[in-house]
Amino acid sequence: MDKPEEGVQNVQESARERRKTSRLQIVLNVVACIAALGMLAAITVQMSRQKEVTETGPVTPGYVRGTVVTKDNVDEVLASAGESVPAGSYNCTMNVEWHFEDSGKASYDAYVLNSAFNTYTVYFDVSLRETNELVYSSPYIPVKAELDSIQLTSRLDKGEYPAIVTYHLVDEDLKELSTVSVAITLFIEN
Amino acid sequence: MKLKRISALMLAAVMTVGGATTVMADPLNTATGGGTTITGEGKVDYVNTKIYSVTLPTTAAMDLTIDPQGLTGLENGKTATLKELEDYAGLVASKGKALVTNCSSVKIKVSVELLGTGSATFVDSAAAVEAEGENILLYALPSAVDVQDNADNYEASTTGVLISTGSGTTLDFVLEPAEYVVSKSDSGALSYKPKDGQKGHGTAISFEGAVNKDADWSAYSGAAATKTIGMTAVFTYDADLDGAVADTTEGAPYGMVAMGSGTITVAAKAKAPSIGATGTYNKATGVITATVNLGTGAKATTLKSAKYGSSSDGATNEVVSPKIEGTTFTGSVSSSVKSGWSSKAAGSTVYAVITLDDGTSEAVALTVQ
Repeated sequence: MDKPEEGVQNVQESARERRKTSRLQIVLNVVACIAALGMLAAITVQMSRQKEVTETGPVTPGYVRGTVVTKDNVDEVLASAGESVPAGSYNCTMNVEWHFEDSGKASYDAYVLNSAFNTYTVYFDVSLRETNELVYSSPYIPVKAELDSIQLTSRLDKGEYPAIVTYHLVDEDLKELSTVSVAITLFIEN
Repeated sequence: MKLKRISALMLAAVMTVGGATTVMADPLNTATGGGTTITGEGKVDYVNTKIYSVTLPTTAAMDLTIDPQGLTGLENGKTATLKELEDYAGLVASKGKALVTNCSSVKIKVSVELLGTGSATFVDSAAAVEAEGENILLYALPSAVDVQDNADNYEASTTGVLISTGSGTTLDFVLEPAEYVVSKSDSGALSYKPKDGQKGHGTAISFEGAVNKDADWSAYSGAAATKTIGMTAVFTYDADLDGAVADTTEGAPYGMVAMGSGTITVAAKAKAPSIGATGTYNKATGVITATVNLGTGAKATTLKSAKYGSSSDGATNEVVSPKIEGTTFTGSVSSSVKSGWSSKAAGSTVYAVITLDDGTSEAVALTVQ
């Protein structure tokens, strides 16, 4: 008597266990799906942002373009001559010396605010002055938002690195409007 | 680490005009001159982090238009004479003015490194532009006056700073701080914020120049362009002035540190006339004083008429012996009006309508003294 009951009990427990495992599996699958979708979205946003930069943005920090007027573009040049320049200035509220315990950790004092003076969302790239190597690319920062957990994407040895922060001003559709470049110094302490 | 982050946030609020004021609700023990040193009641730690608030121009304001053929002399849909086109031929101009404003609470040095780029040859004189080749003379022309928050206030100086290739050119500006005030709440907390209406101090820069009109610039334009022309602009700023001092000699660009070389003198630009909106009336002497700028160069004009009255609409009496010396307008009311207005309270307002020959006119509000 005991044995069959034990057997039934075991089967029931086993079934319960399977149901538990199955529920856990479902939860894990859902979490995994959400994570995968999130990553996909992040990659898509990142890729689309880089696409914008590639299509419209200069590679050289602070690049100011010269347009030679010809009969083909003179109407366009004249049409824009009287207009005020959109995204013509940007209020930089930030520090210019960023310290890192080591390049694998977020800076403990880097700080960037897209101040209330500004109109446009921005993101920024940090590149080394000597090599032009891109060592950080920020997420989009809306007006009045700040960023203070900045972790480089490249490994740098201990030392002092002159760098350039290039802010990219974007419109509501995240289309790039203009840029401004500011020199900073990265200090890698270990 | 956490403390350092908090401190950085505090400094940002201190240094930002109209910025994240909510952070300022936190009590501060001290806020010392310049706002770069703040200590708090244990929860805010001092850290050697300086956060500045500086308005800088973007590339959109500096983009250059290069017009070898003078086509910008054409108005949309209209024709132009050959002479009109010639006047524009070879000109280089930036689309806007590059505004640089210090909104921080400390004096700072702002530097801009400018470097000519592309295939054209950057030269240093108008004569060199005309030599054979794709030559460009490009210079930065900073404002002669404190521009504050609006590039529309720009007035061209006569110092052009040449832009070249190679190691480039650096312009240094020492810019005065915005005015901040410290106030104390009922709880004794100190807050440090910009004075009402304070917009900082700064400059604006126009980029101008010329290219060789006779060169073939076709490779620089259109979808199939094989050559480029432009420059790079990278800004740096710091409260460490490193001994830099603004050149205050008359006519020098506002806030700019004098350069030993690399500059050219640019002809003074015609300045439009203007009339100040306010002035004074001295009831003891019957004299009206106002500020009138008659403009310069091709835009210079003269005084056409000046009338006064108790209201702007009623300003129909001719000012007696009106004259303008420098930018100071003076004239008198008649002896009978002077007698009648002697009972007017100090601080009340009467009016003078001043009109110039070019059509500029202003109803000037005169404060009775």
